[in-house]
Amino acid sequence: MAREMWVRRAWVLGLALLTLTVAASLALAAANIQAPSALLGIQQRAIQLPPARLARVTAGKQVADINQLQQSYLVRNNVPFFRIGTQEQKLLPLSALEFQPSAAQVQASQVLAGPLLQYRNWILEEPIGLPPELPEVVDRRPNQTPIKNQNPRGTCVCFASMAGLEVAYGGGTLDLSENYANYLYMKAESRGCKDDGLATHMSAEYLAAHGVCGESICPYQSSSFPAFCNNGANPAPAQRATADSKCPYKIRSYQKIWRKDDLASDTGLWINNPNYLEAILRSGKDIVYGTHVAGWTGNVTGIVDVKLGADGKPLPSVGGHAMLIVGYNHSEGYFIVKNSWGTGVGQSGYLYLSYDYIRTYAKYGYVINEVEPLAIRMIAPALRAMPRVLPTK
Amino acid sequence: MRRHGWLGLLICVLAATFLYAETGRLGKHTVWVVPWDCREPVRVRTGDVIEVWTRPLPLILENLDARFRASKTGQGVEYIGETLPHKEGTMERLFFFRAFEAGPATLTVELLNKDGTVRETWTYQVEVAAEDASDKS
Repeated sequence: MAREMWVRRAWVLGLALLTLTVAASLALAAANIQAPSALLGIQQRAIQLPPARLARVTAGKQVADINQLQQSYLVRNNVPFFRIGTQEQKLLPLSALEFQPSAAQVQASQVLAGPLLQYRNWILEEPIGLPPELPEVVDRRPNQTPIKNQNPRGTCVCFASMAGLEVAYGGGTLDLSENYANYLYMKAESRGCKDDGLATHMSAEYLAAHGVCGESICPYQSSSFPAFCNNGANPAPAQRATADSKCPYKIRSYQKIWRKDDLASDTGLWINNPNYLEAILRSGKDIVYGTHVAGWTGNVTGIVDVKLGADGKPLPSVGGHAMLIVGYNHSEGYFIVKNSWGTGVGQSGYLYLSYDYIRTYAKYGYVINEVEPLAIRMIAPALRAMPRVLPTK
Repeated sequence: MRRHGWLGLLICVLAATFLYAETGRLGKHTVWVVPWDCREPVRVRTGDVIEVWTRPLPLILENLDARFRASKTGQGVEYIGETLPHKEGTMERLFFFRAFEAGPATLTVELLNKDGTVRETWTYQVEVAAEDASDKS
């Protein structure tokens, strides 16, 4: 008897829930209330739409066939769309937007005519998944510290990593010690007193484990073998100990970027994906990166592109080099890269590497997300001189 | 069904025997890493691989046109390829040779200028000994 009662209760409860769900769905549909955008995977639009996107519609109307535009116009669930190419762009009423559109945007939307006139106070939403209008050029050269020269030593990784760390600390006049970095890296690799290169991405790990000091504490040795890591007297062990104790510049967090061979398109978080590198640079960060070198000629002043050998394949690498990517020019298709061969090479020390060059030869890299904050030194306030009381006459 | 079971077991035993023989054979061969400044004769056995590292020439503008080239004299050693080390900063090359016949050989690594003239040369003496009869089993 009791069991029958429980079964009946379960049925009643189930039916009630079902009814409630159906009723809620009908109510939402009637009120044309859409589910939260986030649930549908649509980005919330609190951004200002650039006039360029509206211009695409108005240009199509003016230049192309108005009928074509009208045919590409459709309404689904009372929401008007334009189909432009393979993309659909939703129209939103201006009143629904969280920002105040510019006069140019409103004017552009009023160019719409004919059956589309009813939407003259509407504005095109961005296609889902596409970021807002992207800058054609990002050039972070003004943020960088001055160009340096590694001279005839295989220390490019030290220079690239120090350049990245300097700018992560704000750039300006900060000058970190490449010589100390080399000492640190070789010590971490148990390679003794050498300067014969390093896998660039490893420098991130070493700089996160141990900081570096300023250039004045451990100056670069341009031509001689790096004596700093010698066990001998040049410099004295005491000097190394002093440098070791004055190394506050350190990475707190970083993100390594790897290469993926045979990328079918510029997608994914890979070092050989120019779109990803552009996004990083737009976010205000630079990229310490390792690359193959092939086909560089003269003073490397032009845009360095991929050159093909007699076999029709890209020229083979002559070796690895590390630099810092600091900008891009999308329309001309090159990245701006800070080198360490002095100001006489490239464009005053910066190289322009084509997108194809990055796709073909980039090996790996990393981005510094956060650096260790520098300790604030408490300086004792200067003792104020006590006012002297002049003797009265 | 029962007959198939025996067949499977037989295949497994054969595969294991083959694998054991192969790994045993591979395990007896050695890769000898020869640093660029090595002056000692390199003593190897037939089947061994010799990996010669070139001088770590810094990758700078002045060196971009330079190239390394490897060659050998002697019948018992063959060149099998080259690669780059996984690091940045130098133009080092790794040249691989395989010893396949007993006897002396000389490996030569040259650093060439853009016009093909030789800037620097390194030679390495190799002595290939025959594999022991007991190792051949």
